[in-house]
Amino acid sequence: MGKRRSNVHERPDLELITGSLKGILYFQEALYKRYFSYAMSVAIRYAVNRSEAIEIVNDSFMKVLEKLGTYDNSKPFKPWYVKIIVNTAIDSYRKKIKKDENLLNIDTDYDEKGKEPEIETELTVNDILNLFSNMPDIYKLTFNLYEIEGYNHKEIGSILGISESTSRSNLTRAKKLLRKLYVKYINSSETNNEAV
Amino acid sequence: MKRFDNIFIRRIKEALSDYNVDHLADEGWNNFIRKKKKRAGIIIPLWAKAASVAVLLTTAGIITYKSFLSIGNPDGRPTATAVKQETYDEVANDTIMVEKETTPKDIIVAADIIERQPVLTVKSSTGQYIVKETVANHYTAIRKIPVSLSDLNLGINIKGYLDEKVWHYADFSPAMIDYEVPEKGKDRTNLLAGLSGMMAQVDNSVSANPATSLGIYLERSISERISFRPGIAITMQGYDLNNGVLKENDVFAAPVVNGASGSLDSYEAQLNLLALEIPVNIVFKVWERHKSMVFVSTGASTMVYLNQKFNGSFINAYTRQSYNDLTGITTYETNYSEVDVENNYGAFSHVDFFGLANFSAGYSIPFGKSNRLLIEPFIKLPISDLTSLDLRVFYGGMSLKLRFLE
Repeated sequence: MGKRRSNVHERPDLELITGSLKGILYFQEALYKRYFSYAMSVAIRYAVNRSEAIEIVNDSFMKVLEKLGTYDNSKPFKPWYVKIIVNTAIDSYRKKIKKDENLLNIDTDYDEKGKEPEIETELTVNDILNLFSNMPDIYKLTFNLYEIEGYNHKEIGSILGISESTSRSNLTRAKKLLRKLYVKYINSSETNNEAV
Repeated sequence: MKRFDNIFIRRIKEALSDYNVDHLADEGWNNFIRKKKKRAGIIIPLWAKAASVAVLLTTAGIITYKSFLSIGNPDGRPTATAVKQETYDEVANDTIMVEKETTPKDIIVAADIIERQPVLTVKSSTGQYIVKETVANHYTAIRKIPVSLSDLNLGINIKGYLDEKVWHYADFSPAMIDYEVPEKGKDRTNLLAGLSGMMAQVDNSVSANPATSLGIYLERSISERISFRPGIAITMQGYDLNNGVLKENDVFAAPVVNGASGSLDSYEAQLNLLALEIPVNIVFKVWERHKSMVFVSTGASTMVYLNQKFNGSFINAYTRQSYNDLTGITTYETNYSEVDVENNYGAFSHVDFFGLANFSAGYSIPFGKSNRLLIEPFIKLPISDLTSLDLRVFYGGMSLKLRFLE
């Protein structure tokens, strides 16, 4: 007997969430796929490449299924999911620094000379990935948490186990490095658009 | 540089806001499923969880039991040997005022106090013994004269053992202790460890998988014939759930599709669970001879579920009715869909308070030097619906229990 799944993608979020909570696989699949691109757009900012982003999304979705019972369905699903993705990315970073503690302390200073670069063209996802993949994880994480997710330095310090001033300094360095990388990879004749 | 930063951040947000990688969703989902299975593979198996919990429970039980014994011994009484020695020293200078014609000067404690509990005998210099009233009453043939505990003046150390006020000055020999002593004094508590095997029946279907249970119990005597036996046991069970067993079938049925209402056609499912059973039973001694005993027991158990893993395959039928105006014929078209369901209910997600009524009858025989083996067939009947799936589960099985330090 064939599996009738054709209409599952048309069902509202709440129905997919309820079905997933009951363990029905094709509801889980539909929920996963409905938010896949969105989840990837969050995860890719924390990842080195697409494979790592998919890993973060998959780990996050595993947590989503585990914690779905605690989800308050009077609130939108997306922000709840994003919070889980960001936390998973932070966990993934923590695992990395456990393996290599040097990742936490990066003393490299990025000199900035010359004028402020111009941003005229639109950035593509590949551009962003290219820039982020050339940044130390701690800078990438601080930049994303502060500038995109809206955390403050106190919160970032507590999440990453660093002081508030270190978080500030990491953000400054991250921005400096991004400008440098932008000039190097995007706003130059030798733009390297490595497909990701 | 602030201008660059602001534009740059805005561009990042713009670029990612319409990021579309739906073409990778299938690959992502396949990876997810592989990861999920891999993760499920390294989950500690139920038996290992059960064994760990059983070890912990046993350790906790022994510690509790030992602390219980020390609470019952608030003066920190010395061991049997020490008591024997100290009592001798203390009592030796005293006179037991039992009968006026006997004035014993030399008294010894003849019984092995700990191992022979509760039989304690005191031998006088005249060769006669003083025994507890319950012991004296048991040996109906012996000649005995009641004596008050206050008259014995045995000293503080031994008095800790003398929970009876009336003793008897009797023709009794410590050799007689080898015979059965029926006294089951008040406030006596024994530790038991048990292993049970049982079959479960859900609705009319007997599960193919036997369930096992491992537990520890405390048996406390309320009277000579009645004991109170609470306990805690870890139990592993698996049920095959056939059509009609689940009460909430509709939760797994697919909703209306294209105007056709769905109904559950059939299903095959299984529930595996790991639960903590907390039984509270009363034990009645019905027959006793020499060192063997027959008893019956009844009570209720609370079930705390540590893990419930449910998986099943549900087939839903969708029937569409259509009427042809030209021919006047009504036709029905039925399609089927299969839904795979897998659900893990977490630890403590469901508790059935006194959900099972326990009935058992057992036979108790001596086991080793100071232990007893209890062979106890039992049945358990549902008082309420059990598990997260609200099942009516009946159990029948056999339990072997070892009672320590008889």
